[in-house]
Amino acid sequence: MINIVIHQTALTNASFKESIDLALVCAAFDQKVNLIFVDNGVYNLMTKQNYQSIGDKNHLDILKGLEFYDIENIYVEEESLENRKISKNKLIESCKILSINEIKRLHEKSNQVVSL
Amino acid sequence: MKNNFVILITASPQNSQSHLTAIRYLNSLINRKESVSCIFFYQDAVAVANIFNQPPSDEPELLKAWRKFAKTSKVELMTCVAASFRRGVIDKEEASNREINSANLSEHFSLAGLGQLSAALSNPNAKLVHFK
Repeated sequence: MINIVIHQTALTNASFKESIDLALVCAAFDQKVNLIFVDNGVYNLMTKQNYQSIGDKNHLDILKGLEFYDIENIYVEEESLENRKISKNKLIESCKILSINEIKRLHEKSNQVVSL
Repeated sequence: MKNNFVILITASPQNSQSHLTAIRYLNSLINRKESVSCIFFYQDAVAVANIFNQPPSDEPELLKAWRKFAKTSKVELMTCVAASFRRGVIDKEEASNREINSANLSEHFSLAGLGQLSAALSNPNAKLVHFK
């Protein structure tokens, strides 16, 4: 089991894209992948994003398609949402909210934690 | 249980001293006869393999330091192929495919897929150390 933690938005740098690439490859190699969104990374899960207006690729489509690649565990940190006043109904449906402590326990259980 | 070290380097060679730290760390692993299964360059770290980088003469030459490490340790240096192409680090094959005049991937580095990192991580004894 591998935890991949995403801290930044897709607009900040290539970390989001390259974390997703790593997640896809690990899933293809039959590893159980947990994608965990924390800090500003939680913005990536918001449904109302308009990448077209700035001529960028639509990163939300990548997240929506993850379950077809056997990545079903998408987690988002409760405290990061609260700090940013983001409510659950603004996020994609497939993500589950976990508290900081629950995420800590998930890290303890997993074999590897990667945070790019 | 003996650790199988997987070294992941993602730091930019221009903006961070992580490459120097990684080399020192690796040298001490090798001296202690620890097993290093994989050295993988990802994200901005791949730029260190670009032979066109010319750092000022009074600054450390990271590429030279990595080459020296690879030569003495005989551990392979793998750079992520997708991250490298995205940042303009290409090998001879890609240069000829794209009709670009020259390749710039240094010797002692080889382009590798993320699958190689993932395979190294799936070893139950894998211990990931990340320089970012």
